[in-house]
Order: sequence, then structure tokens, then C-alpha cells
Amino acid sequence: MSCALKSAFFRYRKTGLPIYVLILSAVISIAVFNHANSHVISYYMFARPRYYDNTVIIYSLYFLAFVIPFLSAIYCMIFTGSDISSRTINNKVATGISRMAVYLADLVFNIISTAASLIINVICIFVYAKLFPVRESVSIDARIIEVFLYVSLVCLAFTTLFTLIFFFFSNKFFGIVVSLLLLPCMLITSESIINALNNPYRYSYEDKETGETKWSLNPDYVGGTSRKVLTFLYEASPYSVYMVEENAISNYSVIGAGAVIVISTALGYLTVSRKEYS
Amino acid sequence: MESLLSIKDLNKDYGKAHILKNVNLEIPTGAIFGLVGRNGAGKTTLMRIITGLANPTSGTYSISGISSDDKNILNVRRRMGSIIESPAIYKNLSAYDNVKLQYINLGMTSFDDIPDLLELVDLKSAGKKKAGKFSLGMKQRLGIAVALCGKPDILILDEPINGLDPQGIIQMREILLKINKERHTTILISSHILEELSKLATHYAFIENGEILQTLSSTELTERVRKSSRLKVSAVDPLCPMFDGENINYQIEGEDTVDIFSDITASHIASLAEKAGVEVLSITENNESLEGYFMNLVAKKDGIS
Repeated sequence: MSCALKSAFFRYRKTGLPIYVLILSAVISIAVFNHANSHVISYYMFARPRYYDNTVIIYSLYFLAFVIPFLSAIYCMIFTGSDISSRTINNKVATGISRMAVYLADLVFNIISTAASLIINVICIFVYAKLFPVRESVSIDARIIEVFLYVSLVCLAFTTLFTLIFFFFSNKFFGIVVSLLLLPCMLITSESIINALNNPYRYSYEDKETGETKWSLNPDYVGGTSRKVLTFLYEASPYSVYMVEENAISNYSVIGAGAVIVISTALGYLTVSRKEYS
Repeated sequence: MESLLSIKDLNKDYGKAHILKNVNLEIPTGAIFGLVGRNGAGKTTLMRIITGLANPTSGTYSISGISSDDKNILNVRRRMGSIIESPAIYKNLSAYDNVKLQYINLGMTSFDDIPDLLELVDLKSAGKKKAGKFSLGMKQRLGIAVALCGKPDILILDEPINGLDPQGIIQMREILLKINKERHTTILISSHILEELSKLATHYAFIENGEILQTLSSTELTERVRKSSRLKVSAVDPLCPMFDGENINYQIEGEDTVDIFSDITASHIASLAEKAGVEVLSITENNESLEGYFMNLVAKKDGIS
């Protein structure tokens, strides 16, 4: 394992990935902060949320849960995808480094890139909030720490998933396409699920003959087991947090992210131990 | 000669396709072992299995006496260098860093002899240049340098001269001969360019459709492909005492066929036949190359006379 980690560290430095991480993160943080600030100004124009301060910071952090996975996919492509695509991974496997050690070393450095990106973004956003005063107060409180830990967990889940994807595909371009498509697909799926769940049980209509208001059962209403399954899937999605009231973090979402980490790593182990390299 | 690499009953299937069929091979220590076969014959698959990049469906192989089923095979692989199909190098790293990275992969901490290794493959002056800017020949040589990290006991080289220009081929040949001679590195090499392979190999295995057709040493091969005259006569037996009497090197191939390896003229053969009282039906010159030998072998397997 130590050979694999040392090798990955050498490659990590030599690929210039730390520089990419620093520059990309700093640039992205401006857009994230600007987006969050605009959103807060327009959304909370008349009603300030009752539950917490630091609205811009909190919203920025939630937005990072969507943005950082995109960056993570790019880092995974540069670090893992290139190694698989150019078949340089063969040099490690053929010299007797265990396949699992190769996988875990890559996963560690993909996590390092993603974590560094997240931390740089958070620091930059705090700096911007101090430099350009926003509507709410800016201070580190328990809520911010809770959201930061949740966002970190989501980013970690995506990084383990992307590492698996790049080990699975022999071509890094397939890997990046699948990884990048996954994120909007998950967002669209979450939106579709919440729209389905928001269908009312019954709806009212006006009787044309009598002019009375009558009630009818909604055929699109999702009930029974389907409702339970969709609710679970929706709450387990990392993007549900945007759509629920007061952006409360669902327990299912935390469990879902944890499950992705465990399942992706287990599948990664199976993939890497069975994969035949060309 | 002791075997460094031993392959026993190795099979490899991809779905219903049998890529390797009961492959048995013994690669002697210190040999340059040429693996000869057409495209899709199974050469690369065999090499990928030996280097641990693919798993056999059944059968085993052992390197330095350690079986592929043994967990210690991972440690033994540290004594093996390889290039499969094309050199696996980081294009964004310099030649020096590519070699250094392989040293790290092998757990080595001293990098003092990297310049010597680059000099061996004639890349010392290009050590700081990014590998992505190298010519194909330079990439191949860098691949050899990476494969040679840690002074391996065995090199597995799949088509290392593919795409090289004549100068590159000569350079590669000289490097491989030098490695074999000076470092006593055993080399398993496959190549389509059989003429070039014949200038390197000390042993051969001919593979077709996943089956090893024949293994033999270069001496045995030379014997079989040497220049000869094939003589068809009414009867071979009366001729033999005549040939023995004149110290003529010959080999009986049938009741009416004999191959003569000594350099004698057709008229001399005719006079000897006359003396023995046999009728000469035909005399044909046979000057077979490695390529011709391989094609004949394949044709025999396919039942084409």
C-alpha cells in the first residue's frame, strides 16, 4: 500500500493537479458566492428565515454540494482516468502492487483533491462575505458546521462514485461523460419525484351547471407503497436538501451518501480485482 | 537449462472464444525466447496473463518457481519488467520522472542509477524532455527503460519493434542483446518481424489459434531451415552408402525422398545416383526462412500440404 501511495503522491505533484485545484476552486468560489448572494437577496426579500443566520454562507455551502462534484469528476479524470486510459496503471499492476492498493491510493488522492477544493471554496466564500457585506451576519456556528459536514459527506460520496466510474471505463472520455451526466440526471430525477409527490390527493373544480365547487380524486396522486419508495428515494437524494422547507438535512440523505460510499468502494474492489487490463 | 518461467496447461476463454488452449511453455533462464504467431494467435493474451494484467481461465504459471496461485507471486513480479502492445508511459512527465515513478512503484528509495539506465537506452540527453514529445522509437526505448527498473530477471516484450524505422529496429536489437548479455536478463519477446526476431532469439515457440505448435532452440531451428536440396529418387536406400562414403550430410524424409544439406552440385548427385543404380526423379533447392518455416508449420496444422 505504501508503494501505491508514494507513487500516487509523486504523480499527484507531477500532474500539477494541486495547482488546478487551487485555481479552479478560487474561480468557482466567486460564482458560488455571487449566486448564493443573489438568491438570498431575491428569495428572502420580504421574509428573513426564522431558523438561522448566515443565510448566504449556508446557501453557498448547499450550492457547493452541487458544484464540487463537477470539479471532483474533472479531478478524477485527470488523476485516475488518465492512468487507466494511457494504460500506465499496467506498470503498477505488473510490478506486483496489489490492485486494491492501486485503487485505494487513487481514491485517497481523488478525495484529497475534492476536499481541498471544498475547503478552498469555503474559505474564499467566508472571505468574500467579510469583504462584501451581505444581508445576514457571517460567523461560524453549529448550523454552518452541520451543513459543512453534510456537504463534505455528499462530496465524498460523489468522489468514491466517480473513482469507481473511472476505474470501470477504460476510456477516460466515457468516464467523464457518464460522471458529468450523472449530476444533472440526479437533479432532474429529484425534481420529477418531488413534483410527483406534490400532486394533491384530490382537486376541486367548478360544476358548470350548478356553479358549485366540487371535489374529485386526483388520478396522478401517488399513494401507498409507491409514495413510500419515492419519498425514501427523494429524501436519500443529495439534492432534496434544496427543495425541502428551510433546507433541513434529511437523515435519509445522510444514510444515502454513506451507502454510496460503502457500495462504491465495494464495487470498486470487485471491479479492480476482476478487471482485465489491456 | 533451468526454467525461469514455466507455463502449465494454461487456458483463457472470453465467452465462448477459446483464446489460449492448454499452453505449456518452459522459458529457460538467460534465454531470448521468441514467441511467433499471427495476429490474434494469443501472444498478447499470454503475455498479459504472465504479467498479471489478465487472469487465466484455468492452468497456472510459475516465475522463479513461485506459482501464480501463490500470494508471493506479487513479490516475484517485482523481478519482472514488461511492455505490452505499446509502452505505458506518462506523456506529461519527463523521461527521468517516468523512470523515477517506476522506481517508486517498486519501492526503491535510491535513484542514483537512473542516468545509467537512460544512457543504456540512449535517452540520457533527453532525460528532462517530456515523453509526449518523444518519437515512437524514443517512447519504445523509454518503455524499455521503465521495464528495466529494478534490474528485472525477466523482460516481457510484446511487439517492441512495431512501427520502428530500420535504424530504430537496429538500435532496439542492440539494446536487447546488451541487456541479455550484460545483465543476464531473460527476455520473452513477440514480434511480427520474424527476420528481426531470428537475429535475437535463442529459443522459439510457434503459436497459432491459441495453441503452441512447436518449441525449439535457435540451433534446432537453424538445422531445420538451413539450405538443403530435396532429392526425389526411385529408392533411397542404395544411395545412403554412397553419401556416407563421401561424408555428405543428409536426412531421409521418406522412401523416395532425401534432404541433402552438404554443398554439392546437382551433377555430382546425379553421378552418385547412377553409381547406386537409382533413378533421379527431381532435385529442388530448399532455402527456407523463419517466416517460411512458420507458414509451413501453420499450413501443416491446417492440413494444407
